[in-house]
Amino acid sequence: MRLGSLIKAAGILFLGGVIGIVTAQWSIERTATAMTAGGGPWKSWFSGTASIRNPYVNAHYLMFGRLPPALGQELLFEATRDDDGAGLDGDCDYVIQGPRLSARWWQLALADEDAKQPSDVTFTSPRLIAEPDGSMRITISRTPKAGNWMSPGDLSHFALVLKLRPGSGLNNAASVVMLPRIKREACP
Amino acid sequence: MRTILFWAAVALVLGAVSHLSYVLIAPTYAMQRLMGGNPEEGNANRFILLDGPEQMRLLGETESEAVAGKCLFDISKGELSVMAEMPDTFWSLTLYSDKGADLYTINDRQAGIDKFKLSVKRAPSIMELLSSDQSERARALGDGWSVEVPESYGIAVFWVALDYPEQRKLFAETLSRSSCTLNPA
Repeated sequence: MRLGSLIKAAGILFLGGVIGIVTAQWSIERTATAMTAGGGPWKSWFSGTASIRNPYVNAHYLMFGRLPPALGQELLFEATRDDDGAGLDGDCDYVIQGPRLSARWWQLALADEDAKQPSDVTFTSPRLIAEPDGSMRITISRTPKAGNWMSPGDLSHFALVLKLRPGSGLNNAASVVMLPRIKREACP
Repeated sequence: MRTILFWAAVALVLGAVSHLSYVLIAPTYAMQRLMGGNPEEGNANRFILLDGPEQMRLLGETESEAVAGKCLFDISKGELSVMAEMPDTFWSLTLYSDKGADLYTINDRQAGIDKFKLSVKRAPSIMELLSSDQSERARALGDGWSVEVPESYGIAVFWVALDYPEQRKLFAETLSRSSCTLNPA
């Protein structure tokens, strides 16, 4: 009888803990805003126009090992899917294409598929070779490509994290920033 | 029936506790891990130029992309004096609390200069303001570059953009002349 109660209490403890963590993760995920200015699958947890005071937004960055963006200095966007809604697969080739980003400095980084752990596969604005019309085009592929190229390396699935540093001290609202499209090209 | 309701209520309360812990308490520990130390444990108020792995861990940027430094601060017993010496390029300085809130931030265009002194002190509480005219006098004497923050512990992050990797050595030399010093109250 006593052992049965003990098992029941342990089960309830475990269940309560799981419910709390699952609902917390769900709530954090829900605080993201889909970015629609340029179309595409980008999301942001940071509005860009007010300091982060929402604990769920703060938790999103800190629990994933990243400093929250500072107001006026940085905007952060994340994408775990391509324009057609499919997950980003390390075996496929992708083209990141769009207008010139309105920032003094930016970084496109590959992270694990939940955008949790950033990898050291990054591409920054000073390295960009712009298209003749000034737009950007970066290819993500395991095989070397001409022009701007990033390799997903060992990542079987990945996410993209785009960090913009406008440099003016004034952020645009994240929702009006024109972001590049993520198009899947070849896929074995 | 009553037993089922009791255990369901227990599970809900535990769920609420773990939910709030995950959102409110765990991020503070995550921030301390990210800061690379706890300012309350005596390694505060000194400037450290970050090496490649530490910069990657804190900012997610490689050493060919940026140069960065940090200063864990503890202003519970005084005022922090940040002497920043930045290269003539795109840079930013941001103060975060040990809970991850941005307290103050400035970049090269906002500052207009690359070498400056920033005084950081704890903002007086409402009770302190009401009970002492001394603190008001001290605040009035503050010169230009001073900031009052609501938290005693945190981190100052110095960041400098690189146009090309070869700039790192030169920019790191300039940035390493920065310092953080506590002036006891």
